[in-house]
Amino acid sequence: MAIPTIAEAHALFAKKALSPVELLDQCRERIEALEETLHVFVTPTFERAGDEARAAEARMMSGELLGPLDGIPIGHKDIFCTKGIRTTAQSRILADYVPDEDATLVHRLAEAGTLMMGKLTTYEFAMGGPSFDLNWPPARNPWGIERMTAGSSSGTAAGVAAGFILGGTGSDTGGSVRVPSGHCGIAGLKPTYGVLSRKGVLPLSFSLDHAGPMAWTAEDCALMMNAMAGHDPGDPSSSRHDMPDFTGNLGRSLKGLRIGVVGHFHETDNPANPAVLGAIGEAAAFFAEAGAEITSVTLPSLQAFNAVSHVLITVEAAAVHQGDLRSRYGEYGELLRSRLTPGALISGVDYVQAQRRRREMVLEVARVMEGVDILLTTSTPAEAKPLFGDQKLRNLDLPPFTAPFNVTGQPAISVCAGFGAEGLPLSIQLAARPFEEPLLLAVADAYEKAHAWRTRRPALLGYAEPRAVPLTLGPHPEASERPERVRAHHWSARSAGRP
Amino acid sequence: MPPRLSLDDLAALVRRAGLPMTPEQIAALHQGSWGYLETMLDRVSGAGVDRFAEPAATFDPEQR
Repeated sequence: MAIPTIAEAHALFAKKALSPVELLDQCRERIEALEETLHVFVTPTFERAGDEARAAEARMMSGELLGPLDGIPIGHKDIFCTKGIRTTAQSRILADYVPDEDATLVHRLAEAGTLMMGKLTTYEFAMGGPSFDLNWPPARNPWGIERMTAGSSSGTAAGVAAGFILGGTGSDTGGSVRVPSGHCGIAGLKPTYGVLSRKGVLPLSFSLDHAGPMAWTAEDCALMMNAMAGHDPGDPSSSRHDMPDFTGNLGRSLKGLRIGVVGHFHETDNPANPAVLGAIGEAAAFFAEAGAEITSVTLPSLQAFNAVSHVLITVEAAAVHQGDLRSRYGEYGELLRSRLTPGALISGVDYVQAQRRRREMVLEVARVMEGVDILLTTSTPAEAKPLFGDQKLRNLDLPPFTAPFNVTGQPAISVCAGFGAEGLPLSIQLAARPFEEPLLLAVADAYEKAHAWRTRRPALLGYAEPRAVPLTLGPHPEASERPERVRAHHWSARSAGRP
Repeated sequence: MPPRLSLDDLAALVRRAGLPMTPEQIAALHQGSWGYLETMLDRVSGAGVDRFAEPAATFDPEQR
């Protein structure tokens, strides 16, 4: 594997076997070869990343790395505000919006020493996509460029899978971190509601919006969480819980862990295909072999969760966009218009009933979680669908597997669970009780480390792969060399970090 | 999924919301997602909800 994880890159930095500048160059090589195909970036900021890489390299050489994220190339979904850098939400409505302040999470990740590679493709306002009538195209799935990445954190998922970045930010209101993570074969965590600040993240639904880290592995998500989590007085929903070390439980034994398989989610509510069912069954068998107790649990149906989720999201989103819907209706993409409009027509009574149902569901799931530590299902019912085709009704007749944990607010993670017949990623989803991210990440990490999925990257990278960096921690024999270009730089107009 | 609401009633809701939709856009909404939405609204309706059931969103008097 030539593309290091965050943990591996940090270990190589510590040994001076790789430098942040070299790592940045490797990412740039892949970007220059494949960005025109994958459409990961809305606004690249490579000049800034280069400056940050040189500063990180200086810290590395003087033995003063700030921590595991120092010198790591990342990107931010283009709904995270970035000071002085346009933040478009992939919409004509905000095409020229340049915030004067960083989102809290952008600031915290910069303080940790990350290299900001750019602003990443999303669905319009994290809701309308994949759309082809916007100023920017949707991201393509590196595992199959005619397939959806899903969304809405699509650029982050595709960028991590393709090795453009080693991690990035996403937001998840009904699954927008976990579903693209599943389809792109990476790890994506939706933490407990309130653990990560929403300040400076363009809102979709105040009740259900969660920010989350996305990376190649659960371990990398844990490393990102350590830099991202913590109370933010600027976010009224920010938790005041003491934040743990999110890597603290990695490597723990799974013996005695109680895992509840939510069979009706993937067997009857939204039947998953045989490959996904096989992956869930294999995961359950793995956990049992590792000493966990596997049981079957029953939660409210996916349809019931989806109804609550859909009403809350569409009404709150319509409230956020009310002014522009009335005055700039035609400037929204067709897909987002079709999804926002019903929210403006739903009655106040129906909205309150959805919030009452939500609380009932939270309490019902909490009762189930008294008997189990972890829930197991999938994050997607099948491999990624074709990118083209009518998207308008997709979320309505097939309830997502991810929305339940936005409704309950508990943490959930999607991790790669192998590959289907066409070589497209499969995924499982794990969920834990609120504020038990360290346990959740440890279980996901144990699962990943016991399987070989993490050594496999999209075949698309074959011709673009830079000279391999050895991941054994000895000195790099060619540490001073830079990878050769594999293709001419053919999108220079967009690479200067300017709109 | 056929909607219960008539096209005229939907058009009235659109006017009340102040949305500058064309008749074609309203008809597309009526024939497209509105029926699905009605099914979801049925699922969240108050029938069966305990009289004392509080909403999940509660007011924080400190508004921190």
